[in-house]
Amino acid sequence: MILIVDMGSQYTHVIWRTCRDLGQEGKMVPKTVARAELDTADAVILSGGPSSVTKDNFHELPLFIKESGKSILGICLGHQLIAHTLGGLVVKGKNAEYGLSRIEVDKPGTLLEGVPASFNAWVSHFDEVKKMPEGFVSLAHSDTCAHEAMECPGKKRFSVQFHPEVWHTENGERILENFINRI
Amino acid sequence: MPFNAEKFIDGAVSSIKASIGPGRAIIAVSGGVDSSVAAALASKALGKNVYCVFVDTGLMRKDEARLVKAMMARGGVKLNVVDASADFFSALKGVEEPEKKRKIIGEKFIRVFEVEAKKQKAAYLIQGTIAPDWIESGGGSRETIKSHHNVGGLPEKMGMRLVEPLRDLYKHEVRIVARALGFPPEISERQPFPGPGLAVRIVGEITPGKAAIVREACFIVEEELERAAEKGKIEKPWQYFAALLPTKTVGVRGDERAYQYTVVVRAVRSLDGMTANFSHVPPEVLQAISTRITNEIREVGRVLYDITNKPPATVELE
Repeated sequence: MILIVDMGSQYTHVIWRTCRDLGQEGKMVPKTVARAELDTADAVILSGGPSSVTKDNFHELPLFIKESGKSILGICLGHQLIAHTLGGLVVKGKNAEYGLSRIEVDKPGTLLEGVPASFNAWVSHFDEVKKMPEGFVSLAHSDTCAHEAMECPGKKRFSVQFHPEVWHTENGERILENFINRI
Repeated sequence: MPFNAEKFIDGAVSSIKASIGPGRAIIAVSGGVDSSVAAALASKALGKNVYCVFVDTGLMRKDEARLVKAMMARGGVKLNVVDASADFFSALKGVEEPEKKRKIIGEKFIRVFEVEAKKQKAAYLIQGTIAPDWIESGGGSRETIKSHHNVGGLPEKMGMRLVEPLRDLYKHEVRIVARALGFPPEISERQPFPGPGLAVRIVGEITPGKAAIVREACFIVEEELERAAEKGKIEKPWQYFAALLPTKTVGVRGDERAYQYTVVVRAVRSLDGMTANFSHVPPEVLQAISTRITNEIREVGRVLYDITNKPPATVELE
């Protein structure tokens, strides 16, 4: 069972739907989810959301991100929360990015394995990861954002700034599948 | 596992049976694929204990009430049409703010259904609510993008219990269910139409006159794009329509000065309505649309094509 933590994204339920389409049972839980429940999951996906990592309360999630041995995938705000929690830096970008963005893969790593070197993705954010936490590898960038994807496979932490769950993102299912295969 | 329509139908029918049982329900039918599927599932579950209501808000597509009634009749469904258009227009008079418009419409719908439910001694209201409706209506940590009339637009107090068998589905999945139920393509493949109807395609205040303009403009856009798709000039867009801006601009017609309304043409490509990109309609098709709109609707002097994706825009303008 994959727990999908709903941090207020328009697409949380789409993550659930895509997991189901990939044959994975998912369950949506609010961001106030208790640590005990998080610990029962096979893996956790952190959704996007309208808030900012420096302004909002994420309850028991930061400690879980720091301590847990489970695989975690962060999407959009979830990507920023992983960066912020593990010592990276999240700031407002120079420009916002909404809708279509061209993703350039720098290093496929685990998450972007089998994905073309350049592809279209759908994004919706202003904040961005400026500096990654120690031990993370940057996998891709776009014109406006330096870290569109990053990972630390040793710690089982994976994250993307764009939205692999939406239909408009090319290779999105493959990226989610790459994560699921690493659980 | 990809979406399984048969499994979904079985589950939905037994869950409607379990929640309504021997009770009576009214179903809000709009002629779109969502409410038609909800009605078919309800009929399977409850047999004769369902009563289908179509509300004519005055903000429907051209000839909609007659078309939908005929379409439903062909499927053996008796549709009871309630003309509430005068009521909707008077409640919306002078209202400009999009969220206020949506809430007024949501409440009006419920008040009409309450009257019908009382007449029918029905304790339940079945709606074809799908996932984007409650997602975009917001709640909890999720922002309200727009209050869908059937979710965020519902009044706090209502005299019926709600049953929404399609809550977890998206448009493409509803279409799969519709095909599995044997619906004709005129329903299963019908383009989405917003619950509040043309109200969200008239930016700002609604008047019967503006509704007539946008209704005709929508009809022209539908005709021209469907014709272009049939001829293989374009892939049929996921949704395609016209909207009316409150802005007038200057023009010249037969050597006379004109000062008339502006119409926006929108056509998008999508799967589920959650994300969308504007359709790449060829210039000659846009030209045919523009010429017809300005020639056939005398209140319109300028036509624009919307080249915004979702996000940052939404499909509809309000």
